[in-house]
Amino acid sequence: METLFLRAVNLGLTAGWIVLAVLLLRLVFQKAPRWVLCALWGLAALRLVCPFSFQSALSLIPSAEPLPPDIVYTASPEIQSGIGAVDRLVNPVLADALTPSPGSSANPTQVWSFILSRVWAAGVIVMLLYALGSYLLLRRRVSTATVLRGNIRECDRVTSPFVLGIFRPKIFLPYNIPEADLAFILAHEQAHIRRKDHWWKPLGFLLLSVYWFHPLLWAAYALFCRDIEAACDEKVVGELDDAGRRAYSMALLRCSARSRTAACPLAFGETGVKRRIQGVIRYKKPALWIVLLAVLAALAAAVCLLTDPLPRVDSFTLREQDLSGGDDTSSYLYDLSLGRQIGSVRLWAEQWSNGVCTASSPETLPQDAARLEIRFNLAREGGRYTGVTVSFGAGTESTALTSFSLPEGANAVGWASSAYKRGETVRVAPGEEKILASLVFDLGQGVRVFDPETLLNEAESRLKSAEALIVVRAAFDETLGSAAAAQPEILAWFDFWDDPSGMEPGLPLELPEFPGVTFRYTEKEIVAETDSGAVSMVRGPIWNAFFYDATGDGVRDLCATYTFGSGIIDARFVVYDYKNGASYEMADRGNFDFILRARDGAVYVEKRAYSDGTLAAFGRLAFSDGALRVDFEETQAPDEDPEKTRETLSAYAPFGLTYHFEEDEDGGLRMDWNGKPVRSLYDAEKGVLIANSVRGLSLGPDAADLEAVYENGRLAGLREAQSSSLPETLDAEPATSVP
Amino acid sequence: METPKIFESEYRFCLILWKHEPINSTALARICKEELGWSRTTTFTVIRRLSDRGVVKNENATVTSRISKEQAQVAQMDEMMEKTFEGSLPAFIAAFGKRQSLSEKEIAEILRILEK
Repeated sequence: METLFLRAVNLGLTAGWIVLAVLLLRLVFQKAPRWVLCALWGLAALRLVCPFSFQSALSLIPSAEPLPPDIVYTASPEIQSGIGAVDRLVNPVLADALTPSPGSSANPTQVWSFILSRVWAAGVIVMLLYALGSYLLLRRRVSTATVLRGNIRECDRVTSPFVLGIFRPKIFLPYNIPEADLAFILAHEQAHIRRKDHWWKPLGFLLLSVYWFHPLLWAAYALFCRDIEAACDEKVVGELDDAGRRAYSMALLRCSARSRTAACPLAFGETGVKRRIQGVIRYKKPALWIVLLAVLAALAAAVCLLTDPLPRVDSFTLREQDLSGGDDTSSYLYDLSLGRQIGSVRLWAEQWSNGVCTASSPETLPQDAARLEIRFNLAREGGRYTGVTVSFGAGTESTALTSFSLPEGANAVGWASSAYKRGETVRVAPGEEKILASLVFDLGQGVRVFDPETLLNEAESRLKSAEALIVVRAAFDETLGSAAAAQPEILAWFDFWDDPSGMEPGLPLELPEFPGVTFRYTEKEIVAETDSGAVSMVRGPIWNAFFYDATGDGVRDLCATYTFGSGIIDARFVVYDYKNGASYEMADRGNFDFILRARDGAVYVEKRAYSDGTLAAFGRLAFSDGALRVDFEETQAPDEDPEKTRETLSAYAPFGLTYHFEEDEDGGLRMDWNGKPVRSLYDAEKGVLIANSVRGLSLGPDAADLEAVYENGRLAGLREAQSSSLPETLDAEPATSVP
Repeated sequence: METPKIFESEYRFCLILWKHEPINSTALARICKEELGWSRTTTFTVIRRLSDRGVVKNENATVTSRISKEQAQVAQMDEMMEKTFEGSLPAFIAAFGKRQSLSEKEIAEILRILEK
């Protein structure tokens, strides 16, 4: 019943707008034929009856659901009237009054909705009983009416003419109406019957019964009754001359003089006689253009008022899941309803192991994608699963593939995948993240299937219990002005990390997105200068600086690496969101250095052990939930699993890589290539970063960072990574040097 | 004894009764259905109501009137006189005369009735 009540309130509030609009149109179109007004009331009724509606961009209704259906259960009830001022006024009050206090047994919203819904139901019953009662009473009163002719009855217990009956409506008259008046009165009442008013009026009352709490609808019902009468008068009068009209008015007058009308909502009495006589006397056949105009206005009103506004919230819904495509695939098809506030969706396919993300592959969904298919194809060798390929498809768009392999020897005997419940509409707001699908391998102990919200909410501890888990994570980002603004290009201002010899104050910089601002770099500080003064953005020896949209708001942020401290000097970085005046920093003093690197048009982060400079992790700089994040692609301590490392490295041996583990107690990995010590090896295709050889910095200035070269999808060689990311050197020969 | 009040619709019923009485109540109901559009229950309700008031008598399913058509007409006339002409016969005659042109013969008959 609470649900019904809530729906009634929502429909009622929405229909209130229509009633207001019709009231307004009534004022504007006083000269228009009344039947147009009646049609408008019909629209309002349709809106009240029909729980479903089309969505249209032309809709003038501020909100289709001022009270969200889950208001009863949420911790912080809020309305969405579609009018900002109303929401701002009402919601704090609601929050104060209705937010459940911890410890109380029931949510106050629930209590209130229980009480109110009962009050509402009682009101509906009272209204209906009144209608039924008055109908039966009137029926009894006219039971002795005698036939005059056809459907016309005479009755001594009525005082003025009316129509009664739903299926076989009859006209009831008092006895002895003067013959001259009779013709007019009958013409009027027959007009009611021809117009089927004996259906419309009870329908109107039925609606009023349901929405009795809505004062506007009471007004609407009263005016509706008046308009019905006026429409019938018009119909009769339209065919009369002046004298006839006067006679008709007199008939009206004499009828009303007899007495008051039965107040039965299911009958037609003669009401508002004075106004009606004025209407009759003044009646002029409306000019054709007025009729046309009124009809057009009514049609426009229909479009604008009958349709729901397009939802302002973004959401997605799992439409199909196919778990039947054989044992080794499963797929999920989401319908996306985005584009209101959310303009872009970034996806990651990630592999997690015991709470650590071991591999991550980013993907961006096309901006206008209406659907997203996520497919898991499992690889099997013998009776064991060895990995999974995750593919994304957006409509007819091509599919992006990412493959994950399970560690060698992982005894994966089974798997299970899960996603959101089918048909459940999940709302998303900008900046939010969701997990759209997950797949967990059964390593012999059975599986715990994680539902998406659990995965999301237990972010810290998440997945710790899962040894081998694949998740598809989506970050929903705000609507951006244009496609060009969606991904502003990275601008590398300066980068002296690899070659500090050139470290000197650089050129001032001006950016199109910050007119009137000059960014100036001195050796110890970057400032933003405007006419009204200078703002300090970063202080300290600054090694590199990029303008890059790290926060994902479509405007570039200053990303800079600097060093801090005198005894312990650690490298850290700051992301300064100049647009919003916010600054974020990532540092782990004494434990790790963080150094920014530009690569492939994005900013990546090197995480190096403070003690010896060993590369601990490498990943793309990202931003979510108001905080910086690094999507580390591979974390692997070099000494952890020599066998596995050896195995992985064997793939590169044909291209000149030699490697061995030192015989000392550390047993560290040592790699060499072309006579140079190798600090790291990065393979973008496999998503593998073989972490550093032992004691990173001790390798000396010649140490190389290698990356794998692919040709036609096959490993074709190794080369030194481009470590400087200034645009003009992006395609230049590698030039590596270390302080 | 004062003639009981008969409403207009009841008077229509009585017109039928006077024409057919004595009559079986079921047959009467059938006629009322045809001529007045009444249901059986309505007819029986009216019969009961009128017998309570002493207008009709319903015994062994046979209905007879206890008031003649003339008595009823006089009573109705009295009521109208009282209501419309404040009991003044001359006012009534005057109104009646204005309304319709009476023939010599009709006037003579009226005078004769009045003299009684």
